[in-house]
Amino acid sequence: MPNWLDVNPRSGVPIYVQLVQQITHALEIGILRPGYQLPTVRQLASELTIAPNTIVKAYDELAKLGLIESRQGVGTLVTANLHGTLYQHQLEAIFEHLSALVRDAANLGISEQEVRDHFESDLTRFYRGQQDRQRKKSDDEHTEIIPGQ
Amino acid sequence: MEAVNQTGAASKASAAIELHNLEVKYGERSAVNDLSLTVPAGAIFGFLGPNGAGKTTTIKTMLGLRKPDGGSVCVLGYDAVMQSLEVRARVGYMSEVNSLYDFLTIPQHCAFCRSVSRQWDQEMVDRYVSLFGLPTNRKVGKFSKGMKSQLALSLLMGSNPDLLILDEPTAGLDPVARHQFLNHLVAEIAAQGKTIFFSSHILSEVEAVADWVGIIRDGKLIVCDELDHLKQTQKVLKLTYVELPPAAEVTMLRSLPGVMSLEQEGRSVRLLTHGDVESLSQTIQARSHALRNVDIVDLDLEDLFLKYMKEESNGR
Amino acid sequence: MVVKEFIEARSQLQGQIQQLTGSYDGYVWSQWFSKNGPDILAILAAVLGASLIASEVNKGTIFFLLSKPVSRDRVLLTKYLVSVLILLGVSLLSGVAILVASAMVGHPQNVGGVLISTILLWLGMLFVLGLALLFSVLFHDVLRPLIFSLLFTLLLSIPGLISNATLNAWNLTFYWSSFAAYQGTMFPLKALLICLVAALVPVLLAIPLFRKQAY
Repeated sequence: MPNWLDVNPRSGVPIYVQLVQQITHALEIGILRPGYQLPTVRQLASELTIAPNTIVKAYDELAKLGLIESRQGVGTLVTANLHGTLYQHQLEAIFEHLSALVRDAANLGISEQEVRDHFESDLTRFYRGQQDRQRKKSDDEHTEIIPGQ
Repeated sequence: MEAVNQTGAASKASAAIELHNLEVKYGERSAVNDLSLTVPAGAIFGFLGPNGAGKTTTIKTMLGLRKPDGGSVCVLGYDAVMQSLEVRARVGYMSEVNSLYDFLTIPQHCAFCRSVSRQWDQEMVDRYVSLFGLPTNRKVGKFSKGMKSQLALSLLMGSNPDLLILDEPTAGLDPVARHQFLNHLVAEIAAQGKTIFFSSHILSEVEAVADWVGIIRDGKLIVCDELDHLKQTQKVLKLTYVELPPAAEVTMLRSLPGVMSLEQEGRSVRLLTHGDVESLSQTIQARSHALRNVDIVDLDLEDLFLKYMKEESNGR
Repeated sequence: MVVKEFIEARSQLQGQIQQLTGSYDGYVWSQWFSKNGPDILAILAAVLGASLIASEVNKGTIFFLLSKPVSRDRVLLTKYLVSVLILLGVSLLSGVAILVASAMVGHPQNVGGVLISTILLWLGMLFVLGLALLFSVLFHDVLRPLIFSLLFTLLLSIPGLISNATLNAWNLTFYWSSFAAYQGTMFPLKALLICLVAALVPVLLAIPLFRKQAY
């Protein structure tokens, strides 16, 4: 069943990290939905032929991230509040990205003013572009309505 | 990723095998030298080392086949010397040499094992025998090496062991049979939560199925760690200097804590590191010699294995 | 060479005894209980004992056996007892064969005498078996225990080559057979006890040795 899982033991990336990354990705792109039951440790160990302890570790990690939860007698489920948690993680990732960019820019010796100017012009360009697109969209809707009059 | 810091936590669970300062001698020659090792319950432990490194000797002390000359051996909470019967009642052991009776058939082997085991689950044995497709009416002497290994494994499962100790279980098998055997081992047996300790001299098969690895050479344990943890902590740090770094600087790099080895080719230096590679990289970048580029690369286990082997022989 | 001379010397001795008794009984006794019986059964006992542990070590099956939750003492004693029973079976069978054959040719033998001589012979053979077992624990091949146990037994019987009562008292093989017991004129209590003790000594030595042996 988990044909979207593709673990490579020869890779330098720890296997449980591979599992966490791939399951997180499956959650993000909607292969796994809230309330979905994940395979048991035994099933997954058997299908992927990897050590059960490694899967336990990956599940523990995903539970710590708040993406899955294990319920007594039921098994391991994708958390009901998956989208909220994912959004939270994405938010954190974005801002971390931003911090990294600022740090890199400083390392390259770009002045604070220069970074700020670029950032603001980017913001302006993006939001103006968005407004334009919206206006164009509503214009299109208008032109569609016209023939019907 | 935050996950990085969490590794190794599983090792604190109860131990299936604990060796403390194990010492085994053949006459004057030391076969196992001050070896300490812990195998956590539920682990698939690959015991890796070249032939004659002391793998079989170590395993024999676990089964009470040989008494240690020093140190202690604890298996499933029992002392391997004083409580050897308790150990053997709960451990399934497969020796390096084929140790089945050539003149007996499979049902005869089952009858014998049943008579000397504390518990016996014939259905379980039958399940594995049919899984491997072994003929029940032929004498075992007519079996191929692979079939004998498969039968030995099937028979082990009859006494429902908590721990399997397999000494070179895939020796003499062709690559396909080897792959099949290990897959069954993990998919059928490890998945049930049984601890597996197997020795091997082939890195790739340990890498493919084990989650723990111990590397032994000349009777000494060189590495004993969770594979995922090894992958996380052993990294390659590639440095490219703007100008050729002076010899003094290279010597300094070599002596930094966490640097296991160093290779230099002109302006580029390759460090094999252990531990916190980030802070090591920052330490190096803070030095006066300008760097054009710093890369942190995952390590191939093969490199690591060869590295450990080489390091040990250089050290002698 | 030594063996040949030994056997010849022994045959001469038997011949003298036969002349002495001159009876069919004496002939049967000297042929089986005093000569061929001990020779054949000693070889059988040595073969059985030598292979008990050494052949398992040699073939590697010892690891299979010793990894089971059974104590080494039990392994050794079980194997030993099986061989003891095989030897008993062969001894009894030959005893029965003597009784039947003698009755058929019109010389029925004393059943009690044949029985007691058979038991004595069997007990005597247990010494060879135990000796072979002891060597089987010590050596990891079958040939050495076989040869050593036979040689050792042969050495023990050397005092018997000289017809001397004092020396014969120290000849273990002397106790394996007793014509008086065969004729039913005497119960060979001393011989039985000596054979029993001689049988136990090598086994009692083999047990702790096997317990300590590393494989």
